[in-house]
Amino acid sequence: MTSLRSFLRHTHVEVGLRWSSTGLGLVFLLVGMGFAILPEVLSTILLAAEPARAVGINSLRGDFGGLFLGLGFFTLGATTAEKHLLLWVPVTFLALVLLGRGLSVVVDDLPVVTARAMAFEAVACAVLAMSAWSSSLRTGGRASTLSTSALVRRALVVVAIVVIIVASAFFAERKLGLVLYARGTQAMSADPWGQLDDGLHVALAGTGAPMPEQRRRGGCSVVVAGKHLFVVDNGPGSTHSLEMMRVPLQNIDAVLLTHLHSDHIGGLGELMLKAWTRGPRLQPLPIVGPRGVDEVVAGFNAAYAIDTELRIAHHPPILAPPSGAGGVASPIAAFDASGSAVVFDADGVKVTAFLVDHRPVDPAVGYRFDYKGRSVVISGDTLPSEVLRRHAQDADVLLHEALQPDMLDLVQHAAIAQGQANVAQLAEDIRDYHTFPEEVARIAKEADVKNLVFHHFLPQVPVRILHGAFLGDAPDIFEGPITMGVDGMLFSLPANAANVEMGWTL
Amino acid sequence: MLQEHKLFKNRNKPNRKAIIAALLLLGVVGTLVSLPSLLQRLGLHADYVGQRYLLKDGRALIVTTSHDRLGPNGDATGVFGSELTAPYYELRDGRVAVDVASIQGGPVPIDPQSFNPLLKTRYDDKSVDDPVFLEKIKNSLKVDDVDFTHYDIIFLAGGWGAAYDLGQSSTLGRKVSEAWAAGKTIGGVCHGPLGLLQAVDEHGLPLVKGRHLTAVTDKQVQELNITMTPMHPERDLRAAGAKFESATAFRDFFANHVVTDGRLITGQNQNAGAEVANVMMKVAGGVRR
Repeated sequence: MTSLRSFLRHTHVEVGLRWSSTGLGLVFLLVGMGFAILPEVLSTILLAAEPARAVGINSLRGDFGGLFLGLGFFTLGATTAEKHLLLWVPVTFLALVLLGRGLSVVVDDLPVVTARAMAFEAVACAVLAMSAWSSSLRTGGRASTLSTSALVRRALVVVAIVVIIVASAFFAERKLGLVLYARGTQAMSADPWGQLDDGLHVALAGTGAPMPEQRRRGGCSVVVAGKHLFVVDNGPGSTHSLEMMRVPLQNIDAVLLTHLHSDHIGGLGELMLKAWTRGPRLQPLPIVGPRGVDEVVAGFNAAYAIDTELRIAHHPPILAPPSGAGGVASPIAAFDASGSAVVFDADGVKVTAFLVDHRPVDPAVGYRFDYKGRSVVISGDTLPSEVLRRHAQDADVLLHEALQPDMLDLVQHAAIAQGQANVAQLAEDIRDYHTFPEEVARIAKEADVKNLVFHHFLPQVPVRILHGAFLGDAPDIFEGPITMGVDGMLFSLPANAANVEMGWTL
Repeated sequence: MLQEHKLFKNRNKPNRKAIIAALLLLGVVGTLVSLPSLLQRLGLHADYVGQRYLLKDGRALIVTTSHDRLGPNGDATGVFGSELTAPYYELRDGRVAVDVASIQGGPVPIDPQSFNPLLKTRYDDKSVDDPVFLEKIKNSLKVDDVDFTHYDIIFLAGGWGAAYDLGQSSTLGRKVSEAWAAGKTIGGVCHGPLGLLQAVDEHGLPLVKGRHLTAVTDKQVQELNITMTPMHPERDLRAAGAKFESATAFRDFFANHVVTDGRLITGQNQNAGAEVANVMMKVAGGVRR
């Protein structure tokens, strides 16, 4: 402490820190203006976050713009006017920001992509604090030579400059937009999926159930096994997720449906269209599923027939080759005595469908993927199932659906209190064809599963704070890692290894 | 203001009486708080940790007493709470649709003792906020109006009230006989198995004769000093020819025992509700969950 004190007493240290603080003040000012002018862009670059609709953009412009401009004013005010006490204002705010972010790291199961921002804030906070301290040591608390009115004059000049810059940026909006768009399109055309290591990878493109959720689209998972790519289920909205995750739709070997409920098939029309024109695909998209899948695919083909004709008429074959439009159904014909059927077996990749119990939806299936010593099992919708338990044996990752009975009871009781008999009935009916979290945990434990991921939630689980209530006793039963799936998660299982790495694709 | 000053002045002289009182209070509160878990450790309503089962599309009927008065003083009694709520929620979690019937129909009397904070189970806690359950016990079916053969599982709940009307009901005996003849799974806990007394098996012989079963013991009845009821399960089931089994503890209230004899599953007392319900689902063709 004393050595730091004597170090900070040096004139050149004090001057260096003051210049660094001035630099930081300018950065704050620029970031503040950035948020005021381009909130969406700044949030993507600095926070890796997508502003949620209008409210998000409004508060990015207002709160973030205001915060950073304020940090800039106080920092520059302190350094240029030698009012070092003012530096404690940005120091305090940065410390509070760090506190909030630290809390978020502990509490939220969100990607820690803000690590860089946190590091920057920590460094900035430290530099400003040392500068304030060093100045106080140097001046010994003497009053600054600059009067307050002069400070106010300077501040007004800075405000005027900021206003002019922000205003002129809005005048140059069009030019600015085009420059940014060019950079964005370049980024979008990159292929992150081509760079995955050899192995088995599973990504969550939709972790929702029929009830709408902000952070979950309809059920959809992506499995990459070596050079092969599969999409399991394709619920409403999930095709857009697949595109945002930049999944190469042209490379899909097959779409595998677990059953034919709306929350697992609603995206198919869009996916068939996008997979066709993205390639372009010369053969229709193969869609594997239980009995009835041919009717579903025929229906989507019929619904999109007019659109398909129009696109063929409008675009040359390099974009829309007539032979590749739509989908072709491939019903799983026969299951062996153990309730399983191999639906894909090539290049060391084996995909096995197995019967689960989602009656009255019958048949309904789950899928097991095996590749180079690694395995992923996807439950589909089911009651606790002995067939699934057998097929999940020793799986590296089990993606399982879950229904939380206590939370569903609360939904039901509220519905009864509101006189909504249909909602109360729904809550009663769906109990008997889904699995409770504790039951999933017991299955995972008995099958020696390594990692358990929940990915189809009933009722909704919109925020992190509900996870404990949703899981109940499950973490006491299954001692391995349990993950509450959110759209965008990626689990990578390198070939012939034992580790599972978690990443994000959204 | 003056009092505040006094308090302030006395701050440095610890009041020994106050400290002893505070410690005593702490001790009493601590004991009260830890008593329920202590009782549970001794065996009262021990958490069921065995395998659970589910019976997809299954239906169950829980049969309770309608008798709500005990002894000459007319103390309130009825079905013992957990003997109704534990099987109700275990069966419901096993995806079984549960109906509740009583000898008279209408409101089911629940022994207020059983909802005492020391005896209450998590099932009881759940039941008091559950409008579906409350409706079922407010308007319970009348045994006479129910076709028992529509159910996969018939569960006879006990409690002191059951000693007054389950074993005495020839209608219940006939209904249980029909369910048995139709191959259904039948069982109960505590005083509930008294409801088997008037039932006959497929050969027309008394259902309990020669069959292994359990129910509340004479020892427990004596230990709790409630001997004034007209029937006692151990005494009367033995007299009817049942091969009676039981476990014992320093107080039988803490003992637990479950007997499976084919489709007949019985539990010794209030501690067995969850286990009996799960074994019944298993025997009725359920799967592990």
